Amino acid sequence: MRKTIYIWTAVVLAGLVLESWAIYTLRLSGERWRFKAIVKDEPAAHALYDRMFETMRSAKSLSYEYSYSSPGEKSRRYMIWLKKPNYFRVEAFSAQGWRSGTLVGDGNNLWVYWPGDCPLIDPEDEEVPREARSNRYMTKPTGLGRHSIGHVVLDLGRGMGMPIVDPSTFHGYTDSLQPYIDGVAGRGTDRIGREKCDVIEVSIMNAQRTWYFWLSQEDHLPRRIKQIIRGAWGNGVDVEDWSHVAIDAEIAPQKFVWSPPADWQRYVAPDPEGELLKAGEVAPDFELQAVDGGTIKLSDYRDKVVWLYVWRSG
Amino acid sequence: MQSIRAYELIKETFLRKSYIWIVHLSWLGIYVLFGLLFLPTGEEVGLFVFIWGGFFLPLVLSAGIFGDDVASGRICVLATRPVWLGEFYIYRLLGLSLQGAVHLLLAGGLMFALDALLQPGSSSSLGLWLFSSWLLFNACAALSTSLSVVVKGAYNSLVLLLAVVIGFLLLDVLAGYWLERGAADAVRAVVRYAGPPVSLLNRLAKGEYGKYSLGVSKCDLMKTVACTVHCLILTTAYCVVGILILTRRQFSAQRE
Repeated sequence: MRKTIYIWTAVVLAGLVLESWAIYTLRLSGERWRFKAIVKDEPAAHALYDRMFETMRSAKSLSYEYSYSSPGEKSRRYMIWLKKPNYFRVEAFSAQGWRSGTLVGDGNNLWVYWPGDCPLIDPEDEEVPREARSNRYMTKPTGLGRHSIGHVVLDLGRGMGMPIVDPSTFHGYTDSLQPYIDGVAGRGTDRIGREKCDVIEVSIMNAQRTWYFWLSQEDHLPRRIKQIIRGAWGNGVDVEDWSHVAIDAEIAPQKFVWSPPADWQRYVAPDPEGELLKAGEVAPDFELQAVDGGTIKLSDYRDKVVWLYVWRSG
Repeated sequence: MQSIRAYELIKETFLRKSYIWIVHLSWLGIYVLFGLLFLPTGEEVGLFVFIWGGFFLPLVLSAGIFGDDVASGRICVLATRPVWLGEFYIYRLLGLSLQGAVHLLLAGGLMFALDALLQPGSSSSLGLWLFSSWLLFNACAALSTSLSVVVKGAYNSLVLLLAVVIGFLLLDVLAGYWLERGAADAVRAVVRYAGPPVSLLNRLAKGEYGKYSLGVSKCDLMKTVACTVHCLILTTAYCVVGILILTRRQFSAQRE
């Protein structure tokens, strides 16, 4: 009887200890609260961050593969080749594994082409016949250091994600978030696959955005990047995993050459100028909620000068 | 002898009511309909299975699991047998848990098949959602079974459903608007850790304790293990309460 009591007491105590440990481990962490996520700058960590950009910018060529994933979604895959002065190529693969669009920069022009259906054409658009949706391409001039591969990647296929580090960094591009970095802090070391990496945390715009970089100790380039975006709707997490990273390797010039076959059709994006108001036209009335909860109508300011300033954070 | 008893008691949960199989089949049919009608993403599929299979299904399967026996007087007969009443509870809950596991595996198989046919790539993390659904199923089944000991007939499920919905809403409203910040956090913590572990398992299923956590996540496995341990201990705590009530209660030979 006494033995049974001892056993049950031990079981209950073990249960309490385990439950206490579980509750402690599962407690809401500081990273959830934005003000706690702002990091103070550490020079050593910031140096690692700067070194990553230096390595990308000073290389003569760079190629890597990365997969981009978010919670609940299968990852999309990209293969990237970059070469100085102004050559680039991105091949995109959808979540289902099919090749979607390809982006080629031949030094002067940028080409995007889709052997399958062009994702920029609305599938519900009845004006475009079914057979005219595929074998399409898009092109525009691209100046050195003035192109953003990251923004174009979104056009390569439906559901494609914008890379966290814009590949155009290699060609001298600087993304618009860099001036808003709060600080860079070290987070120790870790292994991604077989590679030993330094881990750093970067907070941007009062931690509206946080980046974690796992930087290889060998070539100072990422092997994993995690992005957390904090908004009123909650937190969004995206993860990029890099692999097959090669610096200054030989890349065949044919990778950066493309011209449309004769039977392919050019896709021209609708001109937004056509949607804009012309000078002298009457603006449509609209109603918006003010910060004090009231309502503002454009027609309330008739015969007055109204300045509309449209902005977003991040 | 004990294993035969266990087998019979577990089997009883599969066959105790004729509607059990209708429930399972219609639940599986609803998953298929959901997949066909809405072509959901991976997260939507997982969330639907999590709520529909992990929360609502155990309520239906455990409806009246002890309440019917109490109302009919059968529990009186069971109580006179040289068998500890707690065993009935434990094996009936194990039977429910086994039903839940089989059901969720079938649901997973159906959703994977739909995924392969209609929209490849949309069920990537379904495994984690199914595991979380099963843990939630166990916790809700234990809570509902314990309620069934005190609530007559098959009303235990209804009572639990109303209690969860009203409780969460009230506490969230109270905690959000009427309590000071510290007290609100304390109230939410009580609900989070003592109530059905919906939010914790939702995070587990979404991968927030792993690759998609809000930190560097050097402790992926630890948080996953901690969440699993917490859910199992919570389920056990609900069971203990039910067993204590069952074994200490005096049952009348009269029908209630």
